[in-house]
Amino acid sequence: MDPETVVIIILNGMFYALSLFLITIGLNILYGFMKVLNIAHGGLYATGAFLTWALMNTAAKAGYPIYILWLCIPVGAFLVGLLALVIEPLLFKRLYRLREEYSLLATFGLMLVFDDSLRMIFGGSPLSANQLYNWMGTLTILGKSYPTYNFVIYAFAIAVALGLWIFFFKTKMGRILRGTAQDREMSACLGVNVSILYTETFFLAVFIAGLGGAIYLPATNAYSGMGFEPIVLSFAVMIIGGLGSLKGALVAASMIGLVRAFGIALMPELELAVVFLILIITLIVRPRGLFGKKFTREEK
Amino acid sequence: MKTKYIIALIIGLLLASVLPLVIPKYYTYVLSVTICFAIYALGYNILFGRTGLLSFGHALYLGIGAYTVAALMRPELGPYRIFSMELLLLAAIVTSAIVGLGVGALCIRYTRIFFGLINLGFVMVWHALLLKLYHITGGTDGLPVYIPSTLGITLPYETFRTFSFYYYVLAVFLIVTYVMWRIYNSPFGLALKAIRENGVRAEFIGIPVGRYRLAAYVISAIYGGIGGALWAPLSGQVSPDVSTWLTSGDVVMMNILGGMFNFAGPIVGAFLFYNLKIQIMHFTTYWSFILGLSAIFFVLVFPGGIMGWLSTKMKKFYGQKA
Repeated sequence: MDPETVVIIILNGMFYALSLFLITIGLNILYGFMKVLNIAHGGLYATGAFLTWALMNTAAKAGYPIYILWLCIPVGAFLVGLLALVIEPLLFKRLYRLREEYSLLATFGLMLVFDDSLRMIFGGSPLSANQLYNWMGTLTILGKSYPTYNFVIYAFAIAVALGLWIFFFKTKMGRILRGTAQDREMSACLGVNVSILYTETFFLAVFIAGLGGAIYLPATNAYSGMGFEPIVLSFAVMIIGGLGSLKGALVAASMIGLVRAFGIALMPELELAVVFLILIITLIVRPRGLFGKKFTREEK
Repeated sequence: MKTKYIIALIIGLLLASVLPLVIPKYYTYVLSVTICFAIYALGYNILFGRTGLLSFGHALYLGIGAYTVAALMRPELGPYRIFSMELLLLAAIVTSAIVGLGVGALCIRYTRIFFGLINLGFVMVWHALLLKLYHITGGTDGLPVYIPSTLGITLPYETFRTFSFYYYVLAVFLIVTYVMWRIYNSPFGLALKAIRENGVRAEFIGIPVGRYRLAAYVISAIYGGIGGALWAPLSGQVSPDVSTWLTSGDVVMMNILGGMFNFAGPIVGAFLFYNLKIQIMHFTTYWSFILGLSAIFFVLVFPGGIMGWLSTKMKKFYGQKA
């Protein structure tokens, strides 16, 4: 392979990796704080893409200027966040007390509901809204043209990672959140309203997933079933990176994305096997993941 | 109390054997497939409900059972092709036990989500291999499965899937259910329950937790293999779709719907899940919407599953009488 191709493969790999990263962060937050394994997160990611499509399509048809189209992305994500404010009190609040298996089954059910609802509302054929993507044009890298919009995504994902890091480790709210994750009762005793905190955290996790779906829409399509594929890989990323680790999620997502991209280029159809082999090997050699905390005896 | 159970069993058996004569052919076929899934779900529950280990990858063994049958029937094998269902079942048991022993030895060191995901990893690797090694596995098309001979007799092709094989599947189902019942009520089965409740304490009182978990894992793998091996001739075709994370999720759903802490739970769950799925698919394409809603409903309203709910009701009823 010539170096140009390698660079393009790496860029494509990172492009995919960052979508996994944006989903994994949400999963990590939800598992780290509420001990809920949210399979429906893939559905929320898809909802983000579909709602943004609806907004963008209307805006583009009405002939609004391009900055309105940009605005559609955060608005779409915010709408998904509002959805979270509905499903959290209705469903998830009841799941926090239950065993992991139950929350898993309920969120799997929710995922099916999301997927079919999107299919009911938007139909089964892929929907594209590539106005922004075309408007950004292409760059030339080592003699090959590459869409500029993808760099927006890279910058965006890095910004999200940095922002979250600052939020969790440098703000008071982040400190309260981390404390509550460690000991829920103690935080409640110290005057933290855990119920509202959980709703806020849930909103944050879902908002990021919605943003992920929204920002990827101009470069890809919104299609039914789009939530299913990344959710399994995101669980793998979460485990490989280590539960609750932001850095781990980024590193593991990049790893999976790159392996997948090179796998597709070199030995198509085996790329999934390689990705899951990495998962198996990580679990055998280092079950707490790359950057996870050590287990206590009970957790084993 | 015991005679009541025996009478109920005899009535159930009579009903099950008369049913194919009454109901349409298609439903006999559906019933046979359901029984295969019931075996698979029953085996899964010794791991899930009894030992407390949630695996996301048990369709691996369903696939191994089914592909073992298909592979041994391949025309390429010439004179070594096997058509005897008993030998095929034996082969499926052996292969799934070997794979279960290997995979299980790696898995049982972990619990919770780690256990679940390492199993998911294995089923996805197997799925990818089924797709990729197409000269052996037939790729996406899969492999055809021919009509096997049962007890040395080759039954007529026309009524095999819709009538005669049903009785064979039913007989195997009764045997494996009885075996599972004995396992549940053996000291080993009770020790598994102790492991589920508290692994560390179980270790303190001298239960070899690791070895018992592995044993439970292998048993569930074998049941998955048997379910897959019986399902293959009914389906007439095996394809990689049988082993994905979605089919692995189905069995979890069956167990929770039926009730994972009840012996009959997975059997009831398998019947309910599969038949509900077929019935809903008849009148709407949005069957997964309804399935999803019912999963949420069950978790919130009947967390013990149907059988768990029934048994508490029964206890209350009989308690009041006495």
